[in-house]
Amino acid sequence: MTQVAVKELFTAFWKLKQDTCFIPHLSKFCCNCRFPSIRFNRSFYNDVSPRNYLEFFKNYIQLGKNKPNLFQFDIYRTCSNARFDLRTGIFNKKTGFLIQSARNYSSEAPTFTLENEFYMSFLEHLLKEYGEINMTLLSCDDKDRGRLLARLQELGPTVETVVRLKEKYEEKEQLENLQLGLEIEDEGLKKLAEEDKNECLQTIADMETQLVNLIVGDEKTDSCDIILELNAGVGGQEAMLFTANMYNMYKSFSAFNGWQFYDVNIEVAELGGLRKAIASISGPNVYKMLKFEGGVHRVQRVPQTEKAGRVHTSTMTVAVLPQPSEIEVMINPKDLEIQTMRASGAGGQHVNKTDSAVRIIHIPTGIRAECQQDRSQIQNKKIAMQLIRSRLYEKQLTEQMSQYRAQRKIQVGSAARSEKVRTYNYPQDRITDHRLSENYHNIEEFMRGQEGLRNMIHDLHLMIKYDRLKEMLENFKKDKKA
Amino acid sequence: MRVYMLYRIFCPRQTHVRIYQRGKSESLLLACTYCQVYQLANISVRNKSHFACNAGSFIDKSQSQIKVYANKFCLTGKLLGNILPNRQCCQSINRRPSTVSEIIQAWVKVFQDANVAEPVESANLIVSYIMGHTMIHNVDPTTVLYDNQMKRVEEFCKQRLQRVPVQYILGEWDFHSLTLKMRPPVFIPRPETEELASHVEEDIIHQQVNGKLSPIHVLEIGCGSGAVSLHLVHSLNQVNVVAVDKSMEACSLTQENSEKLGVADRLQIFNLDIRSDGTIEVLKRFSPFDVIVSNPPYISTTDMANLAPEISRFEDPEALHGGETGLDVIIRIIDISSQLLKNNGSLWLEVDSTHPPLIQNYISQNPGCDLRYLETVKDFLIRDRFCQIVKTT
Repeated sequence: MTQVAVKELFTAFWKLKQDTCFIPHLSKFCCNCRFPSIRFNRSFYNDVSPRNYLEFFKNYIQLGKNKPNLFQFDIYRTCSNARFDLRTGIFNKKTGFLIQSARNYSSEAPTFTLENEFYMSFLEHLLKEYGEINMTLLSCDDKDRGRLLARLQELGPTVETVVRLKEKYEEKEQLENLQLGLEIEDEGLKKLAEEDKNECLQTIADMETQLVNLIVGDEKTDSCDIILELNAGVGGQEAMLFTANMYNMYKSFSAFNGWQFYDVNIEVAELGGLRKAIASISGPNVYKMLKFEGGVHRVQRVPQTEKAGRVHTSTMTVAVLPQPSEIEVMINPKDLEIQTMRASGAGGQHVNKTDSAVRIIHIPTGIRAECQQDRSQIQNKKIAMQLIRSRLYEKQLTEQMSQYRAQRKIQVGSAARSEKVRTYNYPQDRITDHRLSENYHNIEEFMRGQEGLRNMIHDLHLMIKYDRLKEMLENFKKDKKA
Repeated sequence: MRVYMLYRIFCPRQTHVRIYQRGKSESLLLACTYCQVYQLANISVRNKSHFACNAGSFIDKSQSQIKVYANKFCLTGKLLGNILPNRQCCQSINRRPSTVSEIIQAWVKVFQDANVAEPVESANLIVSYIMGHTMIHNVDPTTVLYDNQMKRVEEFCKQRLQRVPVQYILGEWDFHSLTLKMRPPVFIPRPETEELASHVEEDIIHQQVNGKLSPIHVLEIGCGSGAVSLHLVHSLNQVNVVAVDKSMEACSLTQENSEKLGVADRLQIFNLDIRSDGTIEVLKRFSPFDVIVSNPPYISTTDMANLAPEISRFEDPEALHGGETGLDVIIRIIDISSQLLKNNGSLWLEVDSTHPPLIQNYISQNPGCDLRYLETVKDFLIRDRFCQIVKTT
């Protein structure tokens, strides 16, 4: 999507409907959409009619669908608190809403509709595989059966959706033919046919999104609870203060999503801020939502401690570790070394110590975990065990992921944990996610850990989903050639 | 040239500090209008009558040069410039610690000087308890304490200087997920006791899984603060416990703790000495038991002499001292267990790490008691600590 195309688009709109107009928050709109060259008349701001915007953008969504290489627009969020509902057209007039270009994937990648021939052939291939498995199932031995059945189960919903999509496309074609066949005077019927067609297109769009989700699928860890680790990085006091900000952000984000948030280990810095914080978060889809948060977060601002008003750059790191159940990670008790303050002497009734801190070391890997959350030593031990388990699991996962990455060459994914992921620039009121290479604004709202953060996570998910699908298609292309 | 001197006075409400000049004399009266703290300072002041300052003014730590910052509460409202300090007066106004971290630092030093065990932990636990938390990392280290809080910290820390165990000072301690009242001279449960409770819990769950449907009857001998019994009753539903202790204080503390947790209906407490003859008759009314558990006194006479003052001065020696070899009470428990246990029921003991072979020996020499030594379980520091003995017929 080029800037020019968007410019034309809006100019066209401007000419078309002089009386109603769009875009309440110009600056936000421009920045968020990365079309800073667009400028609008002051009059644009007045006399706003939400319904009209809705109609207008619905048209463009359709337009994008029909000409997949030209535009693709998603209306999926508002500037701030009120979420825009596409179906009812209700949104907060004061805050307005944003359109966002479908991201870089739309400009390079083919869009994933059945009209894309290559994508279609990929789907056909899946259909064929499904059919073949069904055939071989009749005449195979028990060994293969389990594997085949599993694959069948995986493919089932996808195939079903593809079949239903095809039916919808036929319906659409019929409607188009009907429209062509209708006589010009028959306005009423024509309108009806038009409405039906629009509805049909909407269903197709919905189903196609659904299809992408089905093909890409979920990771098996997505439903896990997590352990969230925040560490202050480079930048001393300022980094610790920022770590505290981030901690508050994730805490309120958990509340926002209705997750349970427990502190496991918190090291408060003497002059304010957090040196380190470990928390356990449980609830539906926690790992799925937060897995892309892991990595180095960078902040650029004038620290509270700075007298001369210079902007400092500091970092902090976030690690998101899925919390496995006991069955998923088996630990041999002999591999563990448990260290406590009571290490010397006769122990038992002979000693009365209040230091309840526990450190566990997993000898084969050298992974260690400490806990001094509670006055009860056995409770601390339980928590430390959980930490060890999580870290081991994380390690196993990373190993798996790196294999997976080597195979699939996924550039951005859940495996990229240690890279710089985000920059928070306070003076410019800008948040940049380096994977999306996209700027977001209103840091204050973002740090409240509500809509802002959720929207960014939503964007990340979208991007990664499309990336995966693209990858799958490329592999398919290679296979086909070979 | 005008010379001003603003001192921060360390009282909880620093915003109320006022500085007065006393007549024409060379001294200043520092006063807090909130808590009526007055301090005299001999400083040369050539200045107007009085002005208010607040926490914005401070003394540079090096004290070679004092920078005085005044904020909007000060009459002039400006940076008042560098002045030379009067060394004498800097010493006369001693900086009193007021924030959580300062107070902890100060007391840690006092404890270290007095050779108190675990100086840092003690100070941390006491201050965090007074601030309404269990652990220090939940408390903001920059919080300023109120006067009454300061007094309590001082009171508690002075007790600690007398080597009172922290658990008694706070009057409570955690055992597994429970918070239990602690009171001298009742024995304070150790981390090993927590492990004992876990092993018994697992054993009971094991028995229940293997088809025992009716409630499990448990006897605890020497319940102390009631920790093991309460943990069992609290975490398992189908469990009834009879707890006995020879000390009246222990029995009433167990009773208080069980009422606090709301499990008094499944825990019966008796003030009985198992060494006296009538006891077994009383207990037989509740027998047979599925499990008997005990953390008996097991310290030998020689070891008793080498205990830390926290233990020897404040904890009941009756709960610690197990005779010449430390085996006296253990042997008595083994003897009566054979009469009280159900077939295949088990006896769990926490013992000294030298005891397991001796106990094994004792049981094998008394085949009449129908008991079998099942296993020795190690504690978290890989020392022989727990014995499981099973009744067989």
